[in-house]
Amino acid sequence: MRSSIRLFFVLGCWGPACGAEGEDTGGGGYPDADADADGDYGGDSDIDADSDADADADIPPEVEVEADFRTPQAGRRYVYVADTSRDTVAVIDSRSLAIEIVEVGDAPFVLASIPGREAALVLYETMAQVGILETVNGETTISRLDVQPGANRIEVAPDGRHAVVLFDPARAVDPGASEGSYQDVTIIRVTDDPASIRLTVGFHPTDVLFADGGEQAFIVTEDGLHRIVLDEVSEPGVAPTLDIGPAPDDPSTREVVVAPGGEFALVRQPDLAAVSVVDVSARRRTEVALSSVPTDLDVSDDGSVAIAVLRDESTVAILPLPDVADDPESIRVIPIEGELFGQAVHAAGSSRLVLFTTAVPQESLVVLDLDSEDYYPVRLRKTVRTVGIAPGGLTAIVIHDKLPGDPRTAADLDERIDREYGYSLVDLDSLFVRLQTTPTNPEPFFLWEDGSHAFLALRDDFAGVRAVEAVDLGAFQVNTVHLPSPPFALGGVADTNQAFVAQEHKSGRITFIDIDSLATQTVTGFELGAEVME
Amino acid sequence: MSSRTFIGRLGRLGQIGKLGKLGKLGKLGKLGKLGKLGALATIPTAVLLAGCPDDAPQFEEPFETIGPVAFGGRVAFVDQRRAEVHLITPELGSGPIDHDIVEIGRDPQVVATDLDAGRLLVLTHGSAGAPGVTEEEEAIWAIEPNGEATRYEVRSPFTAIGVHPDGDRLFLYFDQTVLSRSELVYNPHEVATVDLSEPPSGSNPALKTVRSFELVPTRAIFSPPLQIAGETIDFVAVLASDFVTLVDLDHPDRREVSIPLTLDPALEAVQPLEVVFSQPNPAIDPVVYVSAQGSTDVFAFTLREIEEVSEGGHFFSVAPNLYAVGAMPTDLQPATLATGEALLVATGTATLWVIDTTTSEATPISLEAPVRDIVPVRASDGTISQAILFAAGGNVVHFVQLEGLEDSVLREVDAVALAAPVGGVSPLPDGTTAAVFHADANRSVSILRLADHSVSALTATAPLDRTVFSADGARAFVASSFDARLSVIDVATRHPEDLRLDEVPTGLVLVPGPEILVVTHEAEAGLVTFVDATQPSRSTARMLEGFLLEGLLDRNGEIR
Repeated sequence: MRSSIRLFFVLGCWGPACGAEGEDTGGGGYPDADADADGDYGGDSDIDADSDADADADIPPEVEVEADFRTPQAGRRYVYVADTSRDTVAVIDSRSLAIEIVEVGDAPFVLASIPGREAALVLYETMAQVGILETVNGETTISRLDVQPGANRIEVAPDGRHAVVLFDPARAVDPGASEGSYQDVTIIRVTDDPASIRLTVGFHPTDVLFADGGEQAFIVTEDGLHRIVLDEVSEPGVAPTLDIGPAPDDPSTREVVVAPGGEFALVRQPDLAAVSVVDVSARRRTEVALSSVPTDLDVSDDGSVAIAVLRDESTVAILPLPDVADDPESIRVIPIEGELFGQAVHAAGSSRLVLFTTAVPQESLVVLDLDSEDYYPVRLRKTVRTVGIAPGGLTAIVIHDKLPGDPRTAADLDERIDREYGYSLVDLDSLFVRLQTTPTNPEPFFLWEDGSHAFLALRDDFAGVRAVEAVDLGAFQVNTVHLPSPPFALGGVADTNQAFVAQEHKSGRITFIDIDSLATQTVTGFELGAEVME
Repeated sequence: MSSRTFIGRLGRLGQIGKLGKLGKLGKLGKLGKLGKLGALATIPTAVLLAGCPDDAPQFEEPFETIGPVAFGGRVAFVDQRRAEVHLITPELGSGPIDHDIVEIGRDPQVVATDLDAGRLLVLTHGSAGAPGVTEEEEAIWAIEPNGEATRYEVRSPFTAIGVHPDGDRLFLYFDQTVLSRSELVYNPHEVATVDLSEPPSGSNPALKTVRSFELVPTRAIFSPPLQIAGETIDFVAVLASDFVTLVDLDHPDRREVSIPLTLDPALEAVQPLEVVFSQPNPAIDPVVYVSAQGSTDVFAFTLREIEEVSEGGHFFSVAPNLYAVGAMPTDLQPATLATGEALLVATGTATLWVIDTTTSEATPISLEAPVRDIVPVRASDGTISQAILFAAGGNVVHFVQLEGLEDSVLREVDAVALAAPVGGVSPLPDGTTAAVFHADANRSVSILRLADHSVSALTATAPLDRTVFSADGARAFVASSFDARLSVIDVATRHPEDLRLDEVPTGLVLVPGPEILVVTHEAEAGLVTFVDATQPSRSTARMLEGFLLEGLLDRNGEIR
């Protein structure tokens, strides 16, 4: 499972629909489990994982919070902010704070930056086009390409050379508007003679996965998986379908991951004690049987192994790639006694795996070394909602759940902590844990590209909370930067070593934060600049 | 009183005619109480007996004056009815009074001086004409101390004058709060620029209509000379609801720049209240700071130099920024701190905001009481060393040292509670004291020492409504319109002395060179007392009365 906290960067939203994607799927609510929430450090878990089948059968499914711990793919110097109501995009120079207001067309509402370039893509509410903004020497130009009507999502390849535009029903903000196509995607060639080419894919594309550095895109649909070699797309057509097995009744319960090189796709189906390994080139699917139904599936960042979590057996199954495609018996299992876990996150660049569960209120996780097969339970102070790993693989960030109730009326410290929002930093070397409680839900998160810092926005309009927490992931120091207005988007500009926070303000407000000194610069009212008349 | 002079020489009595109706002037009979006038008071009566023609309304009109206005060593009174300006040189002793009468256009409405009070400016609305009355266009009159007047025809019934700090350029506009009734139809968005250093011509004054989106200006504020793209530019900022418009006074061919204060004028009204121009260093872009009713932000518009000329002919673009201060800003004051340029902002709360204009970071400084006004205190070199903060109606005055203000440890903020609510604060020219005018029943005065923040409250036995300080700040002259006395206060010792007047004062104005305090009194035809401001004494004071009658008959007392 790709477990991460979504980066809310320059999505161009000024309305209430923006800024809340992917959150709150697991906050606050718990299944009825008679678990003791206080776990002991050193191996004893809250739940007896060696229980009989009847007890295991009572454990509900894992709650996967679609959070995204991605590092931002922003311009290195310029920040792009769209204003739907004024048909403009503000281009803010993070060095000089000079602002250029660019008229981009009717109702821009989705914005995505292009990594490695001072450029961004913009979708429109009313036009079936994508705009390509490019800033050179402080001046921004725009060109437009046709896309399918109703498109509301852009996924940009990591190399910045292509993008995939699609319609995502989950993001439709206007129930009265006509919906987009359920089977069209548009490939945007951003560089080398920009062009847009429409492809037909299976029903209801739900995800876009890039592999091979961005040269391949895999579109996950209910009908299957479509592999697209982006450089080879030159004319409209039907994207060939890879057989990934029968679709379950609820396609959202099926999980698909792709090896970084794009050679293999792996599929986990609900209620199936197996993982499908799809050899993309050979178009061959191999079923790898497992001893129980996996609750999570992941693939290592080097593509050498896939990882399946067998919660019912407290076991991690390692599927060596490419060997397992030819030899399904080549899997290796690592039992972890006395621990309950249903999800896994792999620390990129290392052999460590972080295991945790969200199915029951458990205040612990396990760090597993895939090479040595040593595992280390780590006690937490609060239950887990999701976990992400900072770039570099040295630190895990655990977003916690909050129990209902006012912390101020708690009976004791433990209950008080349980009733607070918060997150923990876990040093994966020393296993040191720092708990940081927060006045409100600590999302969205934004990680600096070298894993040295993290920033998260805190917002509670009712309580007047408007701040950013700046986290030094090396020293585990947390500082709070108070904001003049409620934040709705976070990002970073590497060129000037600054994080930025876009905030709610009728005329536009953005704060830049130096990641080292935490010095701030705020620009407000930049939308007024577009209305100045001579 | 050393002497009283009746200056109202009426001229040839044969022309008095309907002087009988000067029965109003009979109120001059009050002057009879002053003694010497008794002889003159009989003259109108004698004329009455000679019979009066029926066609001399000019003598029926009472005197309606604007003034006193001090300028150029003289004091001026503008007779609105007779369209003339009386210029008087204050003199002590008993010698003749230098008195000039300058004819101006009909219907004078606005009077001003330039900033160093060297020239008098009178805006007249003229006349549409009537039987026996010729038409006359609106004009602005520039009057020199010697009585020489230059007329600049403006052809529009403006109601406000803005005077450039250089004293030579004027900006005329319509004040939204004043209804101009002189013409059947007028364009409230029209403005005029006048260059007094140039003679009147077809292009001087220059009229133009300012882009205003149906909103009438409320104020016009001049900028200091600003350096932009190698040019020195003087702007006038025209304030109107939801907009600030910059007019380039040096380049009339360049279009005005209208800067919005809101993106939704249909939904919110943002009324600019204060505009401050700041360019501490000619090498950096100037900034225009604006506070506005209807906004809790301070607007900061940077006039950013651009390489290519804009559509309007400018070499700058406007880069907006807003500083959030949590409440409507009530006063702005640029300041230079050790960390760089800053803006002090009062909001009517117990917080002083210090905004770093480089980073836009706003630092709140807690105070002991709400403040609305920031009064800078300048050191001898002109730099601002500290600020006095207060709120009218409150009892607390804060002193803020600018040195170390950015450091929460070194910061010096002191609060002094006064016995009476504050009405206003004014630093005195000596730079060591400030006067506090209280808003209590007697509107008493306190003297603050800025060095140790000590307060000397002076008790008033009658409401004080006039205060003037000597040029060196050594003395304060305080008067009450309920008491025929002047209080002369030695600021250093806080010792007050009374100086008895013959009449209750209605106004005070200080005329420099030599300093003479001019005290006006209620009277039909003008009554003033001259007091030596350097060594005030009743024995050296001089009264002057009836000066508005001077030459009235020679001029036929014409109502123009």
